[in-house]
Amino acid sequence: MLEDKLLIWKFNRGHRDCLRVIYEKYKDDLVTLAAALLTNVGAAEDVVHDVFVSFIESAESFRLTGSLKSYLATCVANQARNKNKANRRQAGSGLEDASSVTTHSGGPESSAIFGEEMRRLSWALEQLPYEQREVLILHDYSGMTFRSIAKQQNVSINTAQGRYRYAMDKLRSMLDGEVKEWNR
Amino acid sequence: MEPLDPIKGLIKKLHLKASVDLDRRVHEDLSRGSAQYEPLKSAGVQPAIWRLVMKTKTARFTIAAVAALVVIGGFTFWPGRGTNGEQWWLAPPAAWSQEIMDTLDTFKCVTWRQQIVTIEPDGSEHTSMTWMKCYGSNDGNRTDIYDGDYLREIQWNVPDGNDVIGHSIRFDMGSYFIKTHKGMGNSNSKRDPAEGPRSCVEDMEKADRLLGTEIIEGRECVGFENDREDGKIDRTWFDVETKLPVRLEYRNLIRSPGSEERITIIRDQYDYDVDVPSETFVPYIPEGFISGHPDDFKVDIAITDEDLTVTEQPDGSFSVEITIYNKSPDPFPKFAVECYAGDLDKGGRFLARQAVGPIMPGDHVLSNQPGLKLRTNEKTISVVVSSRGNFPELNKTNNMVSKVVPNRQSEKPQTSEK
Repeated sequence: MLEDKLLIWKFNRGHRDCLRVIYEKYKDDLVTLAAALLTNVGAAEDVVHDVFVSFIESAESFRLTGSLKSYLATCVANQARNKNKANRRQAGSGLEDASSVTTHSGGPESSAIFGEEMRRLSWALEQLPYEQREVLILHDYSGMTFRSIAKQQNVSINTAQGRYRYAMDKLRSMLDGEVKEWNR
Repeated sequence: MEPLDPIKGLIKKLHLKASVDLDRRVHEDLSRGSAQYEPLKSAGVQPAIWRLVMKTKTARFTIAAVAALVVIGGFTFWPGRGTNGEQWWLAPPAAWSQEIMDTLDTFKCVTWRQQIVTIEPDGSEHTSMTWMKCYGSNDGNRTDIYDGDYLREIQWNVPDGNDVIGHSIRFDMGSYFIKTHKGMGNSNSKRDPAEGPRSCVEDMEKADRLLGTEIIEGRECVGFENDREDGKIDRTWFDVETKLPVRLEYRNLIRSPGSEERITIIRDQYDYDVDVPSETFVPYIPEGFISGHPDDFKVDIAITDEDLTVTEQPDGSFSVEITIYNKSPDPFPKFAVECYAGDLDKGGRFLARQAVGPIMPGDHVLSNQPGLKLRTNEKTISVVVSSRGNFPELNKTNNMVSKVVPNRQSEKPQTSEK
């Protein structure tokens, strides 16, 4: 976090090169977040690209405050929401299209298992309404509070929490048996 | 500890790697962006600070001493962009602010201009007619207040032990007053002539934004911005060469029920270590000026139809002569006698203004305004006396008279007082 504070400090004082450091540090997390929201890796990379382009373009007029990670997640979520609206009727390629899907687990055996998990999870996430998927991913993947998510979605906290519960129930119904088996 | 929900655990394990293509796209855009926002390069002139500080003997001696330290002690200080032309402002403020502070310490007198810019709700900007030339010195300060080109007032603040004596002379009123500000002084320390710039430099550690470079007063300057509470914003522009503040902006948002006004107090035209005569900081009272605070004056200025004379001159113009009485118990410092063509109730047309005064209680003065030219359809001349809002008027019914000019009798005479 101290490193993030230093990055923010430098950015606010005009050190544009620190955007490279920020990108390198968070690019995988941001692509993953966008891909989970859009269930499309190509679109996800476009979103991350767009976020950094907007940073560059507006660098003179805005400043970073608070948590850098949360801020970036918010930017990606906003951009992904806009993209989702624009491309609502276009078919997504799905996470399973990603050739570079990996997991935090090591070893070829676990990679194979988590690869299968990813495909199932991708399919299940795709079945959720976008708003529910967004709450679920922002809360469980990015660690954002319901209050922040509600503010982003312009809804009450209760609505955000409700969407989360609906999303979890649906995911459980779609994945629960398989997940238990995978974790055995 | 509660075991992690399997689905939550799965979500947390999500991980994709950014592709090489994305890396390439972002880094290319970042390179383009950095080039685009590269601050302007300087023309590379001699450090102006050298020119500034060499104006006085004391400063020259100080510089000589500093130069000796540089040679003997190996100090690396030198104002400006540095031998490598680096953008010093990109370094942490702690690295350069002390250097500026040390330079400010060497100045004995600093002058600057202060004015106010109002931003209307429609976005238009208005610069106030009233502006100030301010002098800061170790021994006191002085503020000359102008309305346009007219010097309206001079204020001095002179330290006196633990107090500060405030002096003011009003040229528009012909008055002066003196007030002691108890406990405002500090007998143990000298005043800081560069208090404003120093305060801004101190704030650089908390600067929220870098504004880039702009040409201000013909110099390349770099700006910083600080957010304050209640929507206030401070801006400081530093000369790239001298590193000294050249323009300070204090942006304020004034809210009142149903309205919102944005004003910016601007301090600019800084002249550091200017050599001003010592008498600049010594208050004086011009001959004939009367004592009194503007708020304490109560006036009853009076004119009558009988005392107004309008005379046509050989060149076709008219002259106005009128006697003005002071019927109040206070001296009347200065006021305006204004002449208008036509009926003032229908707007009138401004002809001329004359400053008159002071008048002692019970006394009167004669005002004469020649060369007034009327249009063919204008048959009346009106005269108005006014303190222009400077004093409360006890009787507002005897401040205006009118007279039909000779040989123009076709217009209805307007002789009633108002």
